[in-house]
Amino acid sequence: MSLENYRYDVENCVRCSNCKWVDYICMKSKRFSKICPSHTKYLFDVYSCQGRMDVARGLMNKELDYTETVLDVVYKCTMCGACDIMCKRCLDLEPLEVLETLRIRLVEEGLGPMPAHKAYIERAEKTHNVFGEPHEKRFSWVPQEFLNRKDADVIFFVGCLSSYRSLEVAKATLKILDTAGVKVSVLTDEWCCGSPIFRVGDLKTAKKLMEHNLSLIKDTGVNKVVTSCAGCYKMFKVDYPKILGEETGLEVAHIVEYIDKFLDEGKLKFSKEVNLKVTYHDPCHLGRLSEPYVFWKGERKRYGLTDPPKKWRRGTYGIYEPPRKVLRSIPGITLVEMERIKENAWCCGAGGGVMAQYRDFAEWTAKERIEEAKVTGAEAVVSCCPFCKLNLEPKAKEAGMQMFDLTELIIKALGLEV
Amino acid sequence: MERIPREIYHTLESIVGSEYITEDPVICQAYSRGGYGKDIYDRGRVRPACVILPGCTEEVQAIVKVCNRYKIPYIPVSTFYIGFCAPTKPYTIMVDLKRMDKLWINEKNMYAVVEPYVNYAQLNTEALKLGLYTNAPLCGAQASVLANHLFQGMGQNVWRTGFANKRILAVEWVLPDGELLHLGSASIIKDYFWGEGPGPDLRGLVRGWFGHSGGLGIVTRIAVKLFPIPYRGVPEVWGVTPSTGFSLPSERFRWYNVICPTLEKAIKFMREVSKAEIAAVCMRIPYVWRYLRKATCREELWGYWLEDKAKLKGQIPSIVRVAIWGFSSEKQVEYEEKVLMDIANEVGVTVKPASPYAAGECLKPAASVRAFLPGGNFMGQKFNFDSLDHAVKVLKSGYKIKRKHIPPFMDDGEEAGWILCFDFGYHVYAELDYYFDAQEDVEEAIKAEEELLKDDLEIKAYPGAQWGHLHEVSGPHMLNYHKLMEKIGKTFDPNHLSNPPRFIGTRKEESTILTEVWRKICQSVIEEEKRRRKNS
Ligand SMILES: Cc1cc2nc3c(=O)[nH]c(=O)nc-3n(C[C@H](O)[C@H](O)[C@H](O)COP(=O)(O)OP(=O)(O)OC[C@H]3O[C@@H](n4cnc5c(N)ncnc54)[C@H](O)[C@@H]3O)c2cc1C
Repeated sequence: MSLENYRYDVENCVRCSNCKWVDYICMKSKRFSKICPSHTKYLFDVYSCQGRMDVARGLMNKELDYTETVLDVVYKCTMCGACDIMCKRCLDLEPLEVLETLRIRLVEEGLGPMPAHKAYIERAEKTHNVFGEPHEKRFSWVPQEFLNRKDADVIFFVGCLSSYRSLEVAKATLKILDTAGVKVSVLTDEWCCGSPIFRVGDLKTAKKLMEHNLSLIKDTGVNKVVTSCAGCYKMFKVDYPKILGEETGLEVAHIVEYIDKFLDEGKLKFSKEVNLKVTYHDPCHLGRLSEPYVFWKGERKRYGLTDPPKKWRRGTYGIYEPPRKVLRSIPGITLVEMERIKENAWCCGAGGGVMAQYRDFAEWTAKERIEEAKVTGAEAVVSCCPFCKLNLEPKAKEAGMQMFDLTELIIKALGLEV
Repeated sequence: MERIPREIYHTLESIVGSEYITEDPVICQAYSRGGYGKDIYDRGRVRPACVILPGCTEEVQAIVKVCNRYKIPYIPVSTFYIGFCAPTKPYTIMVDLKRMDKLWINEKNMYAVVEPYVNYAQLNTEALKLGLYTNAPLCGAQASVLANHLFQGMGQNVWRTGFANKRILAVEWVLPDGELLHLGSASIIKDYFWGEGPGPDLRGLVRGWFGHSGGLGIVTRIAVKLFPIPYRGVPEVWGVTPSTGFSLPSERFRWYNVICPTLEKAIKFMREVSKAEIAAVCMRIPYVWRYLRKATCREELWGYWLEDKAKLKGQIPSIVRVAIWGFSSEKQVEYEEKVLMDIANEVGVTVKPASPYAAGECLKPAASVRAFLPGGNFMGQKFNFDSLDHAVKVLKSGYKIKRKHIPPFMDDGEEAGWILCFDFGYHVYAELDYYFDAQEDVEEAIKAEEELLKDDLEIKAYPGAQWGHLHEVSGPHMLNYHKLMEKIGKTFDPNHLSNPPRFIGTRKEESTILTEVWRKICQSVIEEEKRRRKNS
């Protein structure tokens, strides 16, 4: 993977700092006006997207060597993509792809990823999950009738986190699908989707996992995949085609999209009130970064015009409304919004390998988000990603708030238990 | 890049703490080029030797004093959009003022005190909650309020708020040698409400007409005027990225595009609006700006633009953007709207209601960076200040020069440019923009820049602002003002360390000599360190 492919993007950063702030139009206070966790915490400009563009330029032009500091700068980033979307408000550049390529380059140079990443990658290679848990445990919670179901219409891709750490999310998702009458199957040979591995730049290992999962799903003959993890969701919808270089042929959905549809179709009906004032945290991978991948092979011509014209993913069509609509439809729920929402959301702090390698940074970022949530007067924070939940929950508890995955509230409102 | 000798580095470190200083080349790299597109205002750039993040005025002072003791050049950095922060001298220290981001608003007396890292988006967001606002520059609401007040300060609202030099009140200023100076009321009572005495009023120096670009020390705190706006709160946002906006209640806020068949009619219209002293915004915008605002990518921009340009057959209308705000009442809106329509009828121009979401772009400009969309780079030139007539004269003359460069510059069909009026049109700014390829046309753009300045001098127009590198050209035609600036520079910054060669580039020679002096001073320290390393 060559940084050279992105020379235009790197050289045409105009240093406007759009990558550092929320969209000014949407800014609601000075207190919550910043959007980049890395730059907000580490202050030096190099910890912003603009600074990382400069590092990329320096490396390309051999003004810089690959050093420990390059590693520090490149990996102290949650890869939340806020910078990318804010940059694209005005410019036609691909900053997030530059950040991804920097990581890939570091791995190729034999420097990256960081020790904690290497450890979980090794575990994933051995046990197919980043926690190093026995593979059998992955599906031990799944009732037999859902395992490798022959008559399935939909594959539920559970993901490592829901399988091993947030079982409540996995169980709730399965129950919701079943209640709505979906013929759902969980595959016993599901492996890590590759997200935590690709995110830190290990393209080779990520590819192996992806190829395995893809052929596994294709072999079932089912082309609908649903997941309740925003990370897995973005991986299947965006990164699989991008990395593998072709359409996957899969119809990928997040469970919230299904729930929204089921409610409209009357396949799910709420019977219980959930009396709670909640605020919704947009996962980066379900919100601003979830637009389908668009293939483009071409070049920049005069005036930087793309030939053939490139279609840009600007975060416009992220999954913003469905979770809100679903929440509002739950009897007893009052939804109050935080200041930084949708494409302007502040990341939970877990992504990009940060939670594994830089725990203090992940916690700091989560604390910042919970402070924002607290100001709304909500009793609980709701999200649609077990990873966000995992990182936000301890800080929410410290602040006297509850933390839910949306699926958990749906189960309550349906009067069910998992 | 040379390293700063350890002793000096440790002294700096002891001021801010090790967390807030670095000389790591990777970190310094992020401060090694200017913004404003590639290779324009940061030619000859080098990587700084060190970046330091002071947290308070005392720390800034201490840093500047160390820099003076050892003759090290330093550059104040607020939001670092424009290229003037890019270092060009060896051993430069970047004083990144990001940790200084406090904002206080005095609602009753309608002013705000800001530290360097407060931007317009933040200020206007908080001010609106109190029924106050200030002009936000068209470069975007991400610009530092302080740096922008020290430099330009031009945006839609200057029709009422005036130029930024008049909006500055009291100031806290670390002079180039490290001495602390308070201007206006802050010098006596530590209250920032007043810019003139008691105490010294050196606003003519701290900012003057177009600022010193960090060439006269570091301003650490500044009070800026706020103005009443008939709205209080946090406006509801419409849309999703990249098209967002907010509107304000239509009983009090109306927006119009005035379509004028010729530039002359646009000017006549603006003059009449000026005489009537109505409106909150009144400026002529280049026609292509409408496409910049709406396009979601450059292919779309070019596509729509070329299609419409062909349809217009060279008859590109002059657009005047107007806003009417009912400052005192809804009746004011009705009255001013009637006056506006009367003027339009008399002059023969068409008034069309514009999107109410224009309010967002007006108070917190978020789409400005799209100026780079057509070609990857753009340049605003002329920068003339005088009257409406003067604006027409310079823009028309400039257009002839611009024309010669089309292509490669984008043909934006624009015979004039941006005409911005301050104080109800009694003072007028003219800017000629050109858009070009960021890779291939930079040299051409730089050539055009010099030609345009020479054109001003030839037609005896007033190029009220120069970017610092063409003073040699304009100075001799204008009472040798650059010599006066050199004297001011020498008096305040005898060591020429505050963002050299900015303020006045004609001090070049001296700064080279000083670097030599500095090399000698440090030589002993470097030798000493080498010896120590060898021994250990
Ligand atoms: C594309 C583009 C369009 C623009 N359009 C407009 C416009 O419409 N209206 C307008 O008003 N301006 C415009 N500008 C210029 C704009 O005013 C400046 O970029 C901005 O005001 C200053 O913010 P900055 O981020 O550039 O500050 P910086 O780059 O941080 O500083 C600018 C200069 O001031 C010095 N400086 C910074 N902080 C301090 C300090 N605390 N004390 C002393 N010196 C300091 C720096 O050394 C530097 O030389 C435009 C700029 C660009 C790039």
